[in-house]
Amino acid sequence: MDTFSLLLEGFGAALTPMNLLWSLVGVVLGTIVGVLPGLGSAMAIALLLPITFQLDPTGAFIMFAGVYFGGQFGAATTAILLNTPGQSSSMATAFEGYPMAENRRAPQALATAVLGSFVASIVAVTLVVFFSPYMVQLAVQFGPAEYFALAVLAFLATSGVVSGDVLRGVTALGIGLALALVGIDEQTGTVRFAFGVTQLFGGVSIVVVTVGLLAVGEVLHTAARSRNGAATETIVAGRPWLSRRDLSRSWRPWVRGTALGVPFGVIPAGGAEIPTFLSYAAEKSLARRRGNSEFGRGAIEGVAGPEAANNATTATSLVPLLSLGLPTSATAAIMLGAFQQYGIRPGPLLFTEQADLVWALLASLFIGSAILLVLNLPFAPVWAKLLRIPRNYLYAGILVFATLGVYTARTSLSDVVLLYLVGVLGFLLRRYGFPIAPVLIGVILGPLAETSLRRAMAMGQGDVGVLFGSPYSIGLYAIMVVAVVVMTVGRLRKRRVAA
Amino acid sequence: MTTSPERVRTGRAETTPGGRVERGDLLVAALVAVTGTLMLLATVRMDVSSSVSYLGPRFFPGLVAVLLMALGAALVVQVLLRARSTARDTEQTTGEGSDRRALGIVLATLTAHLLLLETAGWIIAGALLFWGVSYALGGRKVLRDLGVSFLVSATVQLAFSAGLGLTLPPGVLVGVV
Repeated sequence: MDTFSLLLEGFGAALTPMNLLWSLVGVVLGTIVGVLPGLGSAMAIALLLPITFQLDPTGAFIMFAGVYFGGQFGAATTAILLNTPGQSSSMATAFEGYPMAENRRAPQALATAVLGSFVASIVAVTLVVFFSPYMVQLAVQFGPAEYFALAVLAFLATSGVVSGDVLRGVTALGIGLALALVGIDEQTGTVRFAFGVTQLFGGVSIVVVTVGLLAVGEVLHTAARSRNGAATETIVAGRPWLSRRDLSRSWRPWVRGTALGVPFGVIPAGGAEIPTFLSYAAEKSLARRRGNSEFGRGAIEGVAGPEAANNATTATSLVPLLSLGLPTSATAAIMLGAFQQYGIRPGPLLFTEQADLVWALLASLFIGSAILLVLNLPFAPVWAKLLRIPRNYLYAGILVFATLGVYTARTSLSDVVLLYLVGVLGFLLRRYGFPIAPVLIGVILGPLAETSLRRAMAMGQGDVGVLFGSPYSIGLYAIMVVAVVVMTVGRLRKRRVAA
Repeated sequence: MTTSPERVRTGRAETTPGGRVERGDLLVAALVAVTGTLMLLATVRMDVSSSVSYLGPRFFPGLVAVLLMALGAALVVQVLLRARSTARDTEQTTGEGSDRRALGIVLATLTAHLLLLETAGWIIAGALLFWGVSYALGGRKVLRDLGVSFLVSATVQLAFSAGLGLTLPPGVLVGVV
């Protein structure tokens, strides 16, 4: 009961009229920044960080929570409406969210995203409040070998399950892995695949790849097809609100997404991308098994699951952040910087030494997600009205904002050049039926896979057995073997039926 | 991609996608294999300082390179096999014939934008970007479109420099902005 009374005290500190106002301001500002492609919740917090320093720590945390949830929602909004995720963790949302928007179901996609985020955040924060000491113990168990196994699992899941054609899926993954290799190798300082171009030494940024493949690729793809019907017509937004059927289709993905997301926030494995893609893959194969899969044409499950997973992961990523001082996502990294500004030193002692702040922060997470729900659920149809803009203006706007987001991130023209080149790659992939998701997963997790593989091998002095040295990694590989066997059997059976 | 218009009109496009798409598929498959080969060459010629770790900076690139080469070869085989059997699932690969003119205009717009962004400044380059894409996608009310384009790029400039404090290149309008 001790935890409970501490949390109540936290609410007491957080729930003042002024703090509620800050939370509201944070949600609005966060949503606005999050809506710009390339500028996700991490960017939103970074941009608004200077403003929050005017406040006292509690007020600042509450505004942070608001900005964070707003940014998260803003990123999902553009993923659904414009096929342009504001950040990499909303990529999986775009795959089904955008087809939903094209099928006049944009408000439903937005609503299921908001509600899913709310459910997941509340559940995950509650878990953080009550179980963070135990979660920390799990996090410490993960070493390089386990991270490598995790990355391989994500590779298999996205290239095998998400895409129907395994060969094309793996090829897309390979292209992503190759893109991630460009630049200076972190461990030895070796320059790889830069071909003498200094701008490439720092590697290809994930923002550039994400925005290029999805937004620029989409615009080129639309241009290439524009002969078959004028692209100037508007997309009709359709009827707002979730029907009872939508709700009954959404709640299970919310629960599964949350369950997938919670453990991934605790282990420092590169943020919310893996669970969002795993959730997407899980929902897709479950839908396929049920037989009436709408995936590819706008399945509400494909929005509900990943969004829940994304928010659950980010909420539980507070566990390593607060208790170990270990940021597991870009957002967490910026928050760590903010903590340091206030003289707060995250670590095992934080919960005892500065308990009042920690509990106020946790309470403000509850408040932030509630305010987001109140503010954005009614506004989902309003946001969906973005689609009433004539399509030639809409796509022109997408390209302008994509360019802007990438250019301003580092004020670098060469990033814009790269953006357009990656856009052409995205167009070619789309044109010839290659899935985009494995490319992104390869770019994001490729470095993690390589680094952890090399660290594990160095620790094992070259012994391959070190990769299978713990129950966690053996468990992960066992899951993969089972998944591959089940999939192969399923395909063979289908082929036999077809023959 | 190289396409021959005659092929599209032969009517074969209805039953099978015709030779056109398969040639593009073949080209993409070859491109994958060539990328892998180039990567392998670059990996072999990579400047590596003498390091003691068990897997050096060459291991992973080599692995990916070989993977891409194998995948490229497999894709070529797949294309050839599919060309033989007529019944194939071409839902994704059969483009409805691409509009090369619109695509060309967009690509030209992107190039122009890159050239103008840091010389003429954001307002002009951004407006051109907006207008070019809108035109390529069928926007034919030239004057209204131009007005909207400048409105968008100017609003963005204002919002970013005044609101968020991010810098955009002022270019030739440096005194005005």
